[in-house]
Amino acid sequence: MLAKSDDNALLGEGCDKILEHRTRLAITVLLSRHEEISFRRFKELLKESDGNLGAQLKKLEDNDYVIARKEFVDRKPVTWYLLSKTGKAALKKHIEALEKMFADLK
Amino acid sequence: MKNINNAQQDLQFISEAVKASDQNSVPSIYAIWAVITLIGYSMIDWAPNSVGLFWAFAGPLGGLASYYLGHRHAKITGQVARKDGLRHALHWTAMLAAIFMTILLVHWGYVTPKGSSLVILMITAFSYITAGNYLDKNLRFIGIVIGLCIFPIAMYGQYVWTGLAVVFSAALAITAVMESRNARQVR
Repeated sequence: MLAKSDDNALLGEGCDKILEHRTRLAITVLLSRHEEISFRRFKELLKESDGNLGAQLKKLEDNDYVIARKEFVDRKPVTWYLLSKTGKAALKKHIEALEKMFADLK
Repeated sequence: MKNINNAQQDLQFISEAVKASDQNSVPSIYAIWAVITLIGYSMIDWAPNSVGLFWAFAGPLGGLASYYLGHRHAKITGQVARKDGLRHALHWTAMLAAIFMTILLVHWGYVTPKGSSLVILMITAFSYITAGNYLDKNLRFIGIVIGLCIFPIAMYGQYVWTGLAVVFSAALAITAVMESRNARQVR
């Protein structure tokens, strides 16, 4: 039932490869709960370094899971992220696969 | 087994991030309404003829100020949650509508003025407790405190509206302080 992968991954049949990384999964879960979140807020909530967080967001953006937009707030540039339709569908499928995985273990 | 342990740790990490993201209400909105309710309700005892005029201006202005502060808070903290904002707005508007209906019942002679203050207190307590159940768990405690204040206010006959104003306002001010502390903990 469980597939092989790196230590930082949630694995199971039907799981989404992009969302196997906990930071990427956390980003999509947070965006499904709140419509838009900035880079700085993600950093506060996930306690990740700029480099790692940027890389995970870029991976999600490259796969059309999240959409980025930039604006100025109090003259400072802010990058906002929102979940795309592709991201929403992928997250739903991934969570269903995780639920099945945990149910099978019981 | 290692994968399952990793999965559990990862889900714990995500759960903590979601909990932290939920602690993002706007303390200044509670502070504004603490001031408005303190003045607006105690005026019923001290300046009853000006109460209508006060609420005609303070109500809409408080609503607009709340919207502006909420919008600005979302931009500054970097977290926009329109659905949560809408849920809050609907919840507290329903409470204000129930309070307004109670005042109409007094006007029509179905409820005595003193009885209405206790009904308003119960509506407020119920609104806080339900808000605590599905909007922000800190509000549940405030609701219970407001609910318990019904007994001393019912027994002490004079200046019931002022008593209600003090309790209501104190509850809002305490919420503002608690929310402000929660926000600092996340950062």
